[in-house]
Formats: sequence, structure tokens, C-alpha cells
Amino acid sequence: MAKSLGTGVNRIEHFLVRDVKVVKDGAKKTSGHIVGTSSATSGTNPFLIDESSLQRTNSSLAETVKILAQQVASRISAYCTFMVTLGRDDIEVTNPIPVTIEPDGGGYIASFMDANIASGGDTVQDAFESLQDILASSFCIAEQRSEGELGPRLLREKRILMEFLCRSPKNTPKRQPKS
Amino acid sequence: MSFTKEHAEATAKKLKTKPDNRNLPKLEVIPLKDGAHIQHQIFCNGVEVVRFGIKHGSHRNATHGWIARRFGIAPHDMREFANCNMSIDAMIGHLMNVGIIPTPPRDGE
Repeated sequence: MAKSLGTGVNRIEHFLVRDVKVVKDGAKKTSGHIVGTSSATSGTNPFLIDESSLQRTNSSLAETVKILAQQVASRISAYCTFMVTLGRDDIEVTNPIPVTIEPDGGGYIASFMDANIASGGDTVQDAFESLQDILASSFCIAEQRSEGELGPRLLREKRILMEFLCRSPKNTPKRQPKS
Repeated sequence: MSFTKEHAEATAKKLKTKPDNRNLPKLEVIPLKDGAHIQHQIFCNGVEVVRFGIKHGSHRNATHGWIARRFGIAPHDMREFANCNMSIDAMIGHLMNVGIIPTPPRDGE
């Protein structure tokens, strides 16, 4: 069974065979399943593989996997998820916040589009946590400002934030001891 | 090329400059350190008109592309402003055009 992976670096013929003979130090050994390479133009027996060839194959495959992973990562476009907590005790999320995550300049940007609030990081998790932080910060600033102190954009932002976030009750009511 | 932390810091610095046109309002920038960000609050005539956060502790090339969205401007133009190819007058004019800075009513309106 042969399968070709054209990656632009090396054309590798990748096959899986059973009971292939491996040449090592002049002695023939038999192994079970082996992933190896063969050269279609060499004219040698493709089932005879020496160890240096296997090492080259391993490094080529590792390179191929790396390139394919980069190609897959570059094709990831924006996707949406929901934020249900800001990771703080003093602020609660009353409605799940829709969060868009998209790659940008080698990092990621996490956005709450409705409020036009976003932040970023080197990884998706970093961007998400950064958005949590800036949402909490924006909420704290917004709740201290009266409507007259905010411009039109920030006023709209405040109203949206108040729909999704609220203060946690600072002191939970203590239970009265039973008499 | 994305909008980096270096661009963001240059933007915050440049927003403080006085516009050449005397009819345009001067912006006031007040930084507020809160959590992982320094929130730069931009005031115009005592009203907070726009706010953006710069992550402190991040490396200088870390992406800060969201700041352009806060200003309702293309990332390329935001970089132009940070690199001093766009004047503060042009930026204030843009902020008025997109409604971030309320335009004062003209006489007779």
C-alpha cells in the first residue's frame, strides 16, 4: 500500500508493509509493521531498508508533519465560542458572552463583537484570558461613569456590558443559627 | 504586518499632542493600570470617548490589532498614525466622522 505526500520539500513514498526485511550491520532481521520510504527510480528492492534510510525518513516525515501542521493552522479562520465566567469572584456573567477568536499577526485576537471589546495573546487560551481581564476592567470603569461622562460609543458599550455582566453579591446572607 | 504593542504605545503617546487646527478639541489620555492591561482612557471636553487596553508584560511585537477596531479605523491607517504619517488633526477628524467624538452643533442649528 503506497501513498504519496507532496509537500514541496521532499516527495516521500510512504508505505506500510508487513514482515519487511531490514538490513542492519549486514544481518537480515525481520520486523512486524514498518513505515519506510522507497525510491521508485533506484531499482533496488523497496523492501530492503537500511537504518540510515529509516533515520532520513523519520526526519523527512517530521519535517512534513511540521509543514502540514503549519498549513492547517494557517487555514483556521475565525470561530465562535461562549464565555460563561470572567474568572473573578466579584463579577458574574449573567448571559453567556459570544466570543470570536481569530488569528492575527502570529497571535490570536478574542473579541466580544457586540460591545467592540477585544484583546489578544500568543495562544488561543492567552487571548481568551486576556479578553476576560479586559471585560472585567471595562465593566469596572463603565459602572463608575454616569451616562453624561461617556461618549456615544462607550455609552453603548456600557449598556451592552450591563446586559451580560453584573456584580456578585459581596456578602452572602449568613444563616441564622437555629435556637 | 500587524498592529503591535509598540504601535499601541506610540498611539497613546501621540493622542496627547495638541492639534494644529484650533477649532479641533484637544484629547486627554489618562492611563489606568487594571489587571493585565493598562487602560488608556481618551477624554474629549471632559467626556470619555474611547478607551483601549495595552497588555503590560507582553512582548513589543505582540499583536494589538483590536485597537484599530476601537477607533473604527483600518489597521493600516492606525499604523500610519502610530508611525506619524497621519496627523493628530486627521485622527480627530476621523473620530468625529465615525461618531466617536460628538460633533459640536453649529451656530443656528
